[in-house]
Amino acid sequence: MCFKHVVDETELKIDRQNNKINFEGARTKISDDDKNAIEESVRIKEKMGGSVTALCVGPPEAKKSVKEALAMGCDRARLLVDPSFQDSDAIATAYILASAIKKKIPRYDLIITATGTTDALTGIVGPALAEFLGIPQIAFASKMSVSGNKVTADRSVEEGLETVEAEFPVLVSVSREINQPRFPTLIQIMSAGKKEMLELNARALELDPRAVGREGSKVEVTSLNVPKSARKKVIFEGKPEETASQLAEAILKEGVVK
Amino acid sequence: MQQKFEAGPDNPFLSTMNLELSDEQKLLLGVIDEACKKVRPIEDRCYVERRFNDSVKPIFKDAHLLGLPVSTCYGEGQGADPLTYALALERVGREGTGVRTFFSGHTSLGQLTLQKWGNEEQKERYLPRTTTGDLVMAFGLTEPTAGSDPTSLKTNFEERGGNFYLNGQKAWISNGSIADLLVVFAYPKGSSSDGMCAFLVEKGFEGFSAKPIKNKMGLPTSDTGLLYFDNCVVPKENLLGARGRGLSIAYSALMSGRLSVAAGCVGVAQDCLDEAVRYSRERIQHRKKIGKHQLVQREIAKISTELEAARLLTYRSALLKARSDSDPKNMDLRNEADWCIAQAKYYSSNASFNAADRAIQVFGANGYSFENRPARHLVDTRVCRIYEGTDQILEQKIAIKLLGNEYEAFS
Amino acid sequence: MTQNSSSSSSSTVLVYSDLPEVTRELITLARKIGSTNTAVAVLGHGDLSDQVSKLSVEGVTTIYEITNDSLKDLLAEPVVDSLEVIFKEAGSPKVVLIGSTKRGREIAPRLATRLNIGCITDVSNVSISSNGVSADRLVWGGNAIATVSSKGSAVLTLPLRANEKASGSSQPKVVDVNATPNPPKVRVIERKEKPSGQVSIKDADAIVSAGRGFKKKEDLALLDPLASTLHAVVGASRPLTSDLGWMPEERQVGLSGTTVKPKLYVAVGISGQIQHLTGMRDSKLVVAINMDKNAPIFQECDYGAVGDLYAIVPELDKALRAKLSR
Repeated sequence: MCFKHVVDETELKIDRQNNKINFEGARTKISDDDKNAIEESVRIKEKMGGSVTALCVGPPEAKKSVKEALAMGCDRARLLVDPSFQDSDAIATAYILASAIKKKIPRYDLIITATGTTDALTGIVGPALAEFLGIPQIAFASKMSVSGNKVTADRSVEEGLETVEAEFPVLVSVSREINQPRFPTLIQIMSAGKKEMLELNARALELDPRAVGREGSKVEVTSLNVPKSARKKVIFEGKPEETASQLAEAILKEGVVK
Repeated sequence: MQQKFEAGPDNPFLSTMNLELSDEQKLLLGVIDEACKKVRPIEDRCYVERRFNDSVKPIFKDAHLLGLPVSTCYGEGQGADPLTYALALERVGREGTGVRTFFSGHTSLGQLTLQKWGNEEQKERYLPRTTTGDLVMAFGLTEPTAGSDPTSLKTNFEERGGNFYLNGQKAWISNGSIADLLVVFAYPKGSSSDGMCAFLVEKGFEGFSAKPIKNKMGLPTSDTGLLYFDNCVVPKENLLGARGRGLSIAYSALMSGRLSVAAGCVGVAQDCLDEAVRYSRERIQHRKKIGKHQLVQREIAKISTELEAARLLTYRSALLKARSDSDPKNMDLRNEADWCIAQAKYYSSNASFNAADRAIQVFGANGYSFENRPARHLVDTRVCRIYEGTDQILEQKIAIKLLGNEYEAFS
Repeated sequence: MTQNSSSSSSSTVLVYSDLPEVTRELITLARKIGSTNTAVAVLGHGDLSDQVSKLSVEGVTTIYEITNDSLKDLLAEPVVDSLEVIFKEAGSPKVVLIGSTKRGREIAPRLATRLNIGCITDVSNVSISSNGVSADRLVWGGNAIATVSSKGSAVLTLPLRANEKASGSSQPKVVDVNATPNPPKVRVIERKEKPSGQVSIKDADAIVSAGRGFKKKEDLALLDPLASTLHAVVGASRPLTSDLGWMPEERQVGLSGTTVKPKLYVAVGISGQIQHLTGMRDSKLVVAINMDKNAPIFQECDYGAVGDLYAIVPELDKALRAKLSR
């Protein structure tokens, strides 16, 4: 399964006045929905047997998140880290993951990811990875089960729910409602350190350096801004009957009530 | 020839006192942090409505934290060492003394006492279920007329047939009216100074009843109970530890209890500091952020310095306790741990109260509201200078260790 | 790798969605960003003439049609195969617009990867330049807007209901594209429609939302008369759905719930954390009622009342009814 080590967006200090985002002191974490993906992977293993390999493209600091994934029940982990990976866009990141899977994981049945991460929310890596590997995908899975060599899952679409199935290998991206991620016990945390965690760099993955990093990315962020608020901010204070009356008048004047 | 070396990490004379958290401890604290984040909004609501927060047990059960230091042989015990457990309690303490007191009652005074003094049959019978939250524990020593002086307790027991019959009352018992299993102390009837015993009392035993204490100054979200024993039937298998060993059991339990209070108070002081810093960066008076006012800076400096001292003293006592636990027959080690823990509890409880008081001052008028955290901490942590050994009892204990037992005030 | 920069394709925009109403929104956007040649992809199986005529609206110059049994359920693999062929037929346009439906979000990155071009999702403020495409999108939990640019062509996904649906009629050139998309390796076994009559916050014109200012679950009924007066649907912030379970998850407005764009949004007893704000920020008019003068919601509303919601809500309903003489 694949997860991302991100900066905790709830810890950012936003300065609207000066259009600044302060990353100082913000902690890092495994992206929230990736925990659902880890949980689902581990549940399937616990039910059906087999093993879970966790993959993460990240900086060296991501080791702490890798340990957490192991503590939650993954059997082994691969941290894909190299200075040349920096500034890779989502598709380039998927390429890195695909290279690791093709070169280092000879056999797999299922790949599980989340639908998007809490920092950039692109939702691109899962589908792009499936495309690089040439395998089918089941997206937005809210329920899944494995039997024999196939997956059956409920996936949501605008009209409702579709129950689909596919034979291995297949990539499933899960939605948040699929499960409640477990809290690892102290014992599981302590044993995480004994599980296999390998760091793989660009050379180990034999990938095309022009396909990663800034050079390999077709898309880049050119600026980051804090949205200014364009609201009127007219605030009424006083006795409830008065403020309610003023509020009612203002609402009706805006013509939004039939 | 004198060896030449450079100062730095390879300095051969560098002594090791590693106060860094291990990766594993950081991960565990991450888990506890998530559980605490879930508790906070519910605790906020329960606090202003002054009602019991019943979400504490289920949330911490999900996080496998209802038996953190209990041996892994029993249920979901996690086998955490005293320092890791203290770190956990520190984090929980930030949510409020009420939340932390749940663990002091259930784990430090309850589970750890049962684990240390129970026979194998008793441990198998009860401990696993205490780690899953099926059984909540409490520690019943204090009585309306016996606080600092446990030897004056009046609850007594008689033996008839295959049972003990307990009569008496306990007061100020953390988790008292929600507990399923209680450690209760009593003298043999007729002898009010000798032969104290400890018993395991189940909530359902005939003759036992409990009710919550009302109108406490603080801790509105935590349960503190009055216990009534009216010919309460306790089967003989539920005698805890050897006959007559009750007082030793009580004192040894208090070591764990005090350490949990010390750790929790460090958390309280930390929360007060965080709040004071945050507020100072936001509040504007005299056309500038109040953090720029020197006298506000002074309050923050004082909170911080006392907090750091409390923290290190608590960690050191936890480490000493760990050493004593692994060498239980070593009385010197035990006495040193006991003494250090007493200092940690004494210092931290006062540091947390001061921190809350100072944070209220930083908040100004807004500090005078329970909608803000410092006021809650003030009324809640005030009890920490009283329970598990009042300041005054601890001062004497600390001094006697240095002066010698012959200087004991009440001998 | 196709980076066709000839002038004929640089103002061609290809649009596709699995839902025709959404396709019409994309057509409007294509015009807005300067398309002189809007091409629409229509995929399916059997006779597609109904869809073709529905999409022959103002602004559409070409419709590329692929009909094949593999496309029966519009699963990702055959759709991507088909769009790849159409992309080349259309002269490798600089921009491909796909609606951000669940299917669209799965298809767009696959298509971009297949075509070896960029992919930008959930965009607003799209513009085409000589180098490529640039657009804005929300990042960091909704706290910031990132401007993202592609080198060369890109596939973009558009949030639903962000543009008006194109209407009118036109006579586009209809091209029956010869293609045999691979049959999908995923099979649909069953479909469960959303039970109708179920309240959908997503499409509501007016929403009255409850937050932690409410003390008890039973008190939520306080909002019913006001919601009725305003013809509004009742929603809630995350604490009331996820944490306290007072209302079902479908009512949750916010980053992890639903993003809504009603004409009127009334936040009652909601403090205004960013995760909630992100969910209703695009509402036309935002009204807030909260006890705490310093609540962040007051920085993000048009009109606010500071006070006890238990008193203000009934009074507000009374005042509205009186002025509307209901």
